[in-house]
Amino acid sequence: MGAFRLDLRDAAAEGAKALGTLPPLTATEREAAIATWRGRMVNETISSRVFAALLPQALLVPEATPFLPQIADAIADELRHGRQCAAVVAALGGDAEAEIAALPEVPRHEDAGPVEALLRNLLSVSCLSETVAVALIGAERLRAGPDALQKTLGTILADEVQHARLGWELVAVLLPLLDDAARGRMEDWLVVAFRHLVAHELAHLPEGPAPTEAAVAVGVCDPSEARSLFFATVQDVIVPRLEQLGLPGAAAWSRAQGA
Amino acid sequence: MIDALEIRRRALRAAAAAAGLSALACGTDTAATGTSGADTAVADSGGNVTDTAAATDAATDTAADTAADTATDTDAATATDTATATDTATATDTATATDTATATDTATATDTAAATDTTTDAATGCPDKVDGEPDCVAAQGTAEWATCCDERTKWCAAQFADNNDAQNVCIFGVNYSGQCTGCIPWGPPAPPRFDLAWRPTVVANGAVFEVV
Repeated sequence: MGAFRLDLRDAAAEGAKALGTLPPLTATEREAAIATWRGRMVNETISSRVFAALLPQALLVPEATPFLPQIADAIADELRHGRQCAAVVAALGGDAEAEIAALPEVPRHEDAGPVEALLRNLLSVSCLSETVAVALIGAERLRAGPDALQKTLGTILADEVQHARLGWELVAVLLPLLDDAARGRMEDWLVVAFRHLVAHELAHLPEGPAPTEAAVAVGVCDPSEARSLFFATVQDVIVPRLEQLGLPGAAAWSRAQGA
Repeated sequence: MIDALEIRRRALRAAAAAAGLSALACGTDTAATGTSGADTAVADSGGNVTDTAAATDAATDTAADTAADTATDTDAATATDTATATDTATATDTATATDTATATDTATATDTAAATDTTTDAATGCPDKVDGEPDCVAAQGTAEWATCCDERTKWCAAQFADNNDAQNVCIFGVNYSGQCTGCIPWGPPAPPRFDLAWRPTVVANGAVFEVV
């Protein structure tokens, strides 16, 4: 997917009115907050394409049919989140637009059958990425100061919870459909997915000085705390849940870390 | 004012509830001592967020805290570095990569060859930088990071003007992790490809190409 310009200024202007006046910030704090929310605006908007890619995969698997509406909802959710984050950008005095360089295609895993291919993407998108998102956004919501921002993060969090649940529930339905060979490949896949997750999350949480309290209150995250929470979520939530489902989460996480 | 530890506990419970992991969602260390109502925590069927688990459960979460405390930045660095080292090419994996390659993978491998250098830094497993290539790994965590990736995007576009796939590989790396390029795609990541992300080498047109 090639480069394009995301311009949500019109939607942002409307939404910003509902947010009201945000607390005073220094120029540095404001800049950090705008960058944070602009990043979220982009993240949320373009992640709609990831769920959109799950839909044709799910259509190939009869057992996934009951979940199709939830997948479709997730696409719309992410687009709405993008507009909500754009509104915060505008409320902070920023322009809700961004240049997006290029995006990798969502893999279809054509080397695998429909169930295994869908499982790979579900595990990566919903069970790993969205479960981590629940923890990180959950923490940010609790740290947010203004009621309007708490509400924005709260509605986003509620949807992300549903996106993660969608994955975990559908994975539980699909796993018994795998034959032994495909089940045996899942550990190797989880190693790949975990490494991908770690690289992605750490890159999004670069080391740096802790933000001020005022910046945290308007949604700027502390990268050190967020990194720690990320690892705790993998170790204490994702790995145990994978094991409960009969997947070798612990072994895969250990291998992903090089142990 | 909620303290940092409580925020962490509630965030983990939220994630546990979303994952259907009832013991941690209850805020207890073991399933045997778990309280009822875990599944109602965090969000109800209508998507309304509640803090039921945190509000109703004063139990400590020693297991979560201990594990979290051990996840230091050192661990993070080690994990990343090790992954890089593991991805370093070995000749013995070539046959496997060839056997599993599809036509699409082969095309991508060709793009990869175009977008990556053939020499590698032994310490990081990443290709050596070429003249003029913006080093955005070094820029991560600085105010110049975004600018650097903008420059890298332009640089890659100039290097591979006629090949969009090669541009993507140049900007983000072969598995799009940004580990060696310093630039990552926006948003929750597209899942990795299984073959190229996992296999340390690929073969195309009779030659071995190192995967970033």
